Amino acid sequence: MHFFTQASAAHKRVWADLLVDAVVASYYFWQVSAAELLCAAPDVGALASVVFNSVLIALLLAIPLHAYIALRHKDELPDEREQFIKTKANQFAFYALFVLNAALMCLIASSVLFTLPLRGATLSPLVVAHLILLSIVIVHLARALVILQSYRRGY
Amino acid sequence: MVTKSKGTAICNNIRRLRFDAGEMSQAALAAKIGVTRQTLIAIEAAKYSPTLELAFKIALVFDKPIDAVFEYKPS
Repeated sequence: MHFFTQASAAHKRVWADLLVDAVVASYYFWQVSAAELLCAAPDVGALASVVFNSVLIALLLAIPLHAYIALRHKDELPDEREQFIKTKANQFAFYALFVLNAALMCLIASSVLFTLPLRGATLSPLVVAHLILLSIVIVHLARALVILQSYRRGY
Repeated sequence: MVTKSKGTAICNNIRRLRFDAGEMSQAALAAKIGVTRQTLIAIEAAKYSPTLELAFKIALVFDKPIDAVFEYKPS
């Protein structure tokens, strides 16, 4: 299939979102881990700067990509097959998020009840918040991959 | 030629009907039935079974009964 001529607007939007999410998540988590912003006494200014830069990168990538798709596919709405694929991917995402967060709750409970070998790291509220954020990002990326795989198979 | 794939037991004659209808393009048929060209490609290749409503729309475009467009062939 010739992607640029045959792919629908919804298909291209999924690729655009996947690209933006992957770039922003990579940047954010790389910066947070490299600068050790999840330590016991994090530099709030540096963390805010990383968040601001991440939002800026997301906007700078998403606006041109979605503007291009909107201009190229004027008045094109998702059809029944695309809505079916989206529903299927949302179902998958719901269960994946549930499983990941249940695992996270088990990790938190275990860290309270037992002394886990976390290589010196502690499960501070900031770390827990980032683990939840990471699970949301993983699920969003996985949802996009499920949609793309469904498009490839036809349904 | 009847198009059938491993994906579904429903095959169709859309490609031949398009050819018979003055070599109607996929884009033109897709616009008439209100789907994207990508979806029509998936239907033609029997990778996606359309809803009953969409199947009737396709049959109406070619002015044929629905069983002249789609056939159910369980394996």
